[in-house]
Amino acid sequence: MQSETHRKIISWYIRFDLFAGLMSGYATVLGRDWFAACYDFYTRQARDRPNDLGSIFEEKFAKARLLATDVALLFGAKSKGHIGDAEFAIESAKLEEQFADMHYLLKTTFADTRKTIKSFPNAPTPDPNHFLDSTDPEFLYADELYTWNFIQIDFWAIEMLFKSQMCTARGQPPSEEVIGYAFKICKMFEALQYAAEDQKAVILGAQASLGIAVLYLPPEERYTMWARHKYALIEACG
Amino acid sequence: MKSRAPSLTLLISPRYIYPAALRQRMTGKWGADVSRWWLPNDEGFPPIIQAIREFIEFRARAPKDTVSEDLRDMKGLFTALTLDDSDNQREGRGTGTDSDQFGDQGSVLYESSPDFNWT
Repeated sequence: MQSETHRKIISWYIRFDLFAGLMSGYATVLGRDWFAACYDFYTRQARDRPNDLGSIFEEKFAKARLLATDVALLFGAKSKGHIGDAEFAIESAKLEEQFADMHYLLKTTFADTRKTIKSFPNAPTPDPNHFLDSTDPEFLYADELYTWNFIQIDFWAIEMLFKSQMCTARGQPPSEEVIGYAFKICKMFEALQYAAEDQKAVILGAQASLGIAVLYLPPEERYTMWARHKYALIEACG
Repeated sequence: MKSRAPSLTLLISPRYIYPAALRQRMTGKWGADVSRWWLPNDEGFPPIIQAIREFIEFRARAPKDTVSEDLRDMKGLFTALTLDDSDNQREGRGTGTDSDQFGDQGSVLYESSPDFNWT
């Protein structure tokens, strides 16, 4: 089951990788209709197959991508002056609500029934000074819910970008909350890396979100060196 | 990240190779020079990645030089009024068979030659 999951993760994440590029500042190449149609399809599929985990996962990935598109469209429209402040306030409030809803769903859907990963074979000797608790035994979803980790890291990156752009829109630097997301994404990446049988699949699946998170880490030597080691690992792996 | 596209075409196996543009951007952000490699003293910089990078840089540079070289060669050929196979092989040697794996950039040379051969 896990290797099939890995295959799926790889194909989805290569697509999400295109997204990371989009969020860096281009206009979306594919129109919103495509993402909306995709999301509608997977929503219907999830409704038709309520107990099928694969369908639930697909719906979540599609929802996250649709939200990412909407964030890009909203801030693109604002920066080009296509919408006024009032309309921006209304649309951004709607997005905030959708993000909060999805955040809640991701946190709670399987919280009671899940098993978590307890073993981290790739982890080095524990360093009490390390800024991440990446071998946290209550953090990673295990077994058939393993894909949920990737759904989370994906969504956290999109949510983080939305919140950081809201800060920018208010003329403020990235908030504590935004930086908190960055650390959470880093923790997830490292946890997945330390737990993985197949590091290559993890790296392909999660490196896009890591790349976005690294940009929001505070400018301290220990965070920078950590990120540099991760980039070296990503590029050298395989 | 616009230069990501050429790096993706260079994926031989599921491997992620970062474009030079990203290393430049992070050099700016971190104030540490990571334009060659992420870690100091080439720590953890595998020889195969070094080789791939050097090839990327060679291919990025080569067309300009080799096209002008082609021009000279073609002019030479016309002047001599001979179509000599050994000249074609000389142009080919720089690209070899490795270029087949590397998509479009290998074909730049071949696209330019026929125009000068037959007009």
